[in-house]
Amino acid sequence: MSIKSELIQEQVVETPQERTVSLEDVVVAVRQDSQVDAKAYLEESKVPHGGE
Amino acid sequence: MTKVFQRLLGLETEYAIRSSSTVATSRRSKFRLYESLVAALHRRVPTVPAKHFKEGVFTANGGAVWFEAERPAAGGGLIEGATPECRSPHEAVAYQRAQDRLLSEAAADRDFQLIKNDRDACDNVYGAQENYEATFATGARLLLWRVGLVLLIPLALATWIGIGVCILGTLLYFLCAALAYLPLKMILGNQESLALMLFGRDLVDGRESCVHVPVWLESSLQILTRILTAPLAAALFVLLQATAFRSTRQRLVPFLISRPIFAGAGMVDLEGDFKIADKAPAVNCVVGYGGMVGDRPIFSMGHFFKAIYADSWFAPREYAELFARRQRLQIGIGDSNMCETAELLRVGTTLLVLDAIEAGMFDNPPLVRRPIKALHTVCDDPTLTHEFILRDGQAATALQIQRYYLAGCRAFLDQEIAVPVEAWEIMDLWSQTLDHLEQLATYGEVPDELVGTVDWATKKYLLDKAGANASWAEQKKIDLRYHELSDDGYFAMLQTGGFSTRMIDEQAIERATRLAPPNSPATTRGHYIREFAHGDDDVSANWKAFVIGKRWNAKTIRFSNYGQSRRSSAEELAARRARRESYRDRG
Repeated sequence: MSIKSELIQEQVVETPQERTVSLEDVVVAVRQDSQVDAKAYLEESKVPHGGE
Repeated sequence: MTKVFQRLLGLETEYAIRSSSTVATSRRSKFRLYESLVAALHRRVPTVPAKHFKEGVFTANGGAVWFEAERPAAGGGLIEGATPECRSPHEAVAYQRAQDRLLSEAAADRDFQLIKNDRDACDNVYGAQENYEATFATGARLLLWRVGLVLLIPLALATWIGIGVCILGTLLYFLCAALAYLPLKMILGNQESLALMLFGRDLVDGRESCVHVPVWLESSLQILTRILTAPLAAALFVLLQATAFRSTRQRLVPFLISRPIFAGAGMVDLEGDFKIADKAPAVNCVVGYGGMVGDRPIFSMGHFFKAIYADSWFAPREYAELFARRQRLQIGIGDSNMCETAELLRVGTTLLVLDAIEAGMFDNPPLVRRPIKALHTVCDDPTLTHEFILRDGQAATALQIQRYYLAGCRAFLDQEIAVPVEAWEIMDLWSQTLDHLEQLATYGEVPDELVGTVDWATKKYLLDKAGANASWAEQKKIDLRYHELSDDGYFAMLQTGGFSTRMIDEQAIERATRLAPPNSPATTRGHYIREFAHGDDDVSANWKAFVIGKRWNAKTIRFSNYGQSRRSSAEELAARRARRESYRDRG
């Protein structure tokens, strides 16, 4: 017996994600982190003269 | 043969480099960080040097990584990634995600981070470009373009001579500077500041750092080059305005200026106001070269100019290829997306609209009177309720303009044969997203369905909840760190928590880090890179060819735009399934 196997072209499929924390937890983490050294972060991520 | 999803496309992304303020990293120039990233990348996947005037490498999946620097001596510099040439939205986004992953992991190995966005806190703009193979022109316009190219040859030759004189002048300067410096050094001793002023970092340090000249000479040469190339640039611009993708541009503009409602990444501007797009507020013209005279266009034609004044110098064949009917349409209005849904929609809807336009649809689009002003108004309006006055006197919102294109694409697909399943799925996703945006416009709040699917809505949600009453700097940090490609990035936190919609499965992304897409010039490129990257031969690659050996002994393998997309239609998939079942039954 031989079974042909074929690679099916990728389709756009939405994959449900398992939620490991609450959205409120993420919001709290973002709030806390954003309050730490915000100006330093902006300075560290500067791109003088921009790009194309 | 279907007309849907047959063209080549590729995505370019400029990533900001964030190195922390610790002593060890702050002393490294952007170029050194790029070099260390490439070394880390080479440990993960085979790479070969790029045969190009820009510093870069090509990777085994057929994509490229560049050091993009407008003014390297003055501290500029970004990492730029370019996906291999793909043939479908799903493929393009899979390769984009693979690129994000490879680059962010290589950066983490070297203790710095990449930020995948379009604007820093000082309003310096960079970011995303989309490239689609499209019909340049037909009939009389195509003839005009070709005649124009022939007539430009003397001007191109004069420009090359001028640039050649510039290069000789620079070399002569270094000779004179060396002759002046040697006696001065004997008198004054070792003066690093004088040496840097005369020679630049590379010559002083004795190694490549992409700072080939001193800062003052870099800016002088930039001004001089712009003056020398101005006549060619002006003549070519007039020709491009008259011929390049003209009917496509007109039909595409209303779609593109309203596209930020689902494709925008959002940003906090210098006044603290929220805009739904990051790059689009900086767009100031419909057609331009992209930065030559401070222009930030919707349609960038800079690659045609580079092909004539730079690439053709080394390879006259590049000039000949400009005569082809199909060329690269570059769109510079899009944002770098974190949400996979937004990225897939940005690319997928644009592909569908392009396919429909080239099939003759949208011959009466909803033309807006002042498209750039309209674009900025779209960006200023997170309520999505602003109405534009169209040229025919009617009023429409950005949502209504998008629904016009959605309906037109549906009509196009209904009349096509063997439509890929993916096309219908993009249509469903587009329709659902517009419905959710309609909810937002009606009720004024970000519905849950948009968190993790549309970047600007997700970012606004975080700003409203986590950044309420925060200082401008804290809000701007939320804006920027949303895009950081590390576990500490705010979008990454949402993704880890299960709040972002995944559209591309892990296997597809993992495969895309290692292997080139099929039926593309990248397929051959990737094959040769895997074969030769770890060998002893001197090899290099670019978008057009792979080169083995150097100078007179070099062998060049050119890639062709071969193959057609083999996306399956629903009928083909059903037939395959039926064949499999019959083989199984026969067993």
